[in-house]
Amino acid sequence: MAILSTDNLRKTFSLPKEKGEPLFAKRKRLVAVNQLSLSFEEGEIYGLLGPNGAGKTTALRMIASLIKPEEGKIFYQGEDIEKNLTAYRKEIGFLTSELKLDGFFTPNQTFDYFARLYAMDEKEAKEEKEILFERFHISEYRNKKIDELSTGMKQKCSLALSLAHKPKIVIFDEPTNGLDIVASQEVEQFLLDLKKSNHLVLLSTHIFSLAEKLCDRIGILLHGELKKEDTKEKYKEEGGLEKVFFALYEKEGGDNL
Amino acid sequence: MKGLATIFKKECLRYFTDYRMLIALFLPGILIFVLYMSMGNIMTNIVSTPAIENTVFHIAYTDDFGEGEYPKLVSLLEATFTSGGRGNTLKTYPLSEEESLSAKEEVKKGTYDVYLDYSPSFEDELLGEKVQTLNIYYNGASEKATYLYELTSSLVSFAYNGYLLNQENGFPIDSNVAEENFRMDQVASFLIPLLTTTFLFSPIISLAPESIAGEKERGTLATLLITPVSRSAISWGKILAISLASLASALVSFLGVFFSIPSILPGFQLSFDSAFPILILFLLSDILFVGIGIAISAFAKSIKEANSYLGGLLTLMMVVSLLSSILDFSALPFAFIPVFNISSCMSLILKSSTFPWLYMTITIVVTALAASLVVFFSNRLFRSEKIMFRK
Ligand SMILES: Nc1ncnc2c1ncn2[C@@H]1O[C@H](COP(=O)(O)OP(=O)(O)OP(=O)(O)O)[C@@H](O)[C@H]1O
Ligand SMILES: [Mg+2]
Repeated sequence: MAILSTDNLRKTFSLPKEKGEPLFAKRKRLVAVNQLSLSFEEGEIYGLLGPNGAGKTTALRMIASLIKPEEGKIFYQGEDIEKNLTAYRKEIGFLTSELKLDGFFTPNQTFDYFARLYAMDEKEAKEEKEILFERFHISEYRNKKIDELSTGMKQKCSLALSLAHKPKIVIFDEPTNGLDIVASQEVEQFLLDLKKSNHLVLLSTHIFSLAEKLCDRIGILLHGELKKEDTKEKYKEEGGLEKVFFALYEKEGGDNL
Repeated sequence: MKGLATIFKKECLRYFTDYRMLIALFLPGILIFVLYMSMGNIMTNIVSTPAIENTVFHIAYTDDFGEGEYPKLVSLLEATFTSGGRGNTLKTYPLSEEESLSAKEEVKKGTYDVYLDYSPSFEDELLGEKVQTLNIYYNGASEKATYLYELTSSLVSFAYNGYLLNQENGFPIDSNVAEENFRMDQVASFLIPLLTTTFLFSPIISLAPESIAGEKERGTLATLLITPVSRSAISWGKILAISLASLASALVSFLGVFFSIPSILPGFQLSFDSAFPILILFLLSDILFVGIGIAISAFAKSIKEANSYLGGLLTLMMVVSLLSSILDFSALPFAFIPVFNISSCMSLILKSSTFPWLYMTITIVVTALAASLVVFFSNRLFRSEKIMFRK
């Protein structure tokens, strides 16, 4: 059985009022995600691939329970996540390059803060902190203000913190966005390690090479809808991810998306 | 609510260890003290030296000085008047023992501006060892009477210089026949509500935008929202932390004013009877203001946006508190207007001769209701993904 699955997710946003529109006219709505049904296994890396505005962030936010789908449900171990959100949130780590840490505090303080928010056992949290700080080479900077750290260091802190509560599922929106080649390399290694330890990794990207390198399965998202889903090997057989993507893109009307 | 305490502690740690925050919170109070200490005297002069001209003053005194004899003090006053050059004249009224009995009443009515109540043979006994008192009665509600009183009391030590006047001998006692000191209370009744509003609200302006809109802007809020902590625990944790910090800041500001009161409002004393209800209003309105600040901060997309809403609101509140103390809003329906009623109630407490129980009760109930409504509303905003993830 799939550890995590989504059933017909739909999310729309109201569009801003256009000029000349009457004040109380019903706002037009933009469909950000539509009829999205996915299912994931433990120990796999799944990639959502799509251009800007395809609905990747919206889909991942719904799966991370940050926003609620209008239609459809999300199941964790066969159970609707809405039934016990608190328990579900303890099982997921969510990371985006938009997610930041309060620069006023040190990595050490921040880790303790999140461990408490996740209601972790104090001893367990302490041990986990040492392991993660060691793993991401944070120990040296643990008592420095996050504001004073470099971008790469900050990213490493975020990574460590998203794992503080030992989540089974890690959701990662555009993991290498804004990182240099060395830092990206480290993040990629980090994701592969997670997979090795039987975590489920869910990521979004618009970079073909990244998806091909890391993901076991890739879903192509266009206009909020899943257009194709296959294993990395299958895409290779069909001439590569890039080729398949643009064939689909043309078929869907290209720029008119 | 799990997590509330953790969030509260973290927010407090942020407010009370960041030196920029500390400056924003506590410097104003200290500055007020320093400023008024140096400025206070100027204010005093403006407040207490009305230009009174071409006026007839009436002074009465117990006449046991014998035929044609004046108390030294009265002759000195007369001399001051004739040489004063402002066209003011002084009429003196020696009173018999019988007339003296109703003298205080007459002062209240305004027949006399000042009544000097000497004990019999005051001046002779000043030379001896016995402790003597000189009661100076005046109507503090009258500007004219207060003027004469101030002049009189400032001449006392001068008049009895030769009598070895000291702390024990011939000490003048200020006896205001009016129940309250009109002019100072008038100033206090607009200054205190105005300062309260400003002191409570300005720390909120430096705290609230940072607290939620700032976290949205910096992207740290989503990090908090994906934790298992409930949305209401987050918003309560923030509300309580801001309340604590803003109260601490307002308290420092108030102490600043409290210690400057002697130089801002000479002669004014805040009695416990009015200070206590004002403190209650103070605490209640803090929760209301914090609620408003949090709601605005939750609604705004950025610190800048939150700041401009709150800045506008502060101006409005200051205008309201000024208006409510200048104009008469003592009619009960006004007590039902939230925010507005706080300053008008404070000013009523300071101004009116009877304690405005009903007005105060209505104000408290309305403020408590408004505060819970606002807090409820900001909790709702926290749950709304439309607001939290506004594009
Ligand atoms: N909170 C919001 N309010 C209004 N519209 C939104 C909101 N979030 C997303 N949208 C819109 O929904 C659509 C999908 O956005 P989404 O951010 O999910 O795309 P994406 O695939 O992550 O794109 P990108 O590669 O640019 O990150 C876009 O048109 C976007 O403008
Ligand atoms: Mg995105």
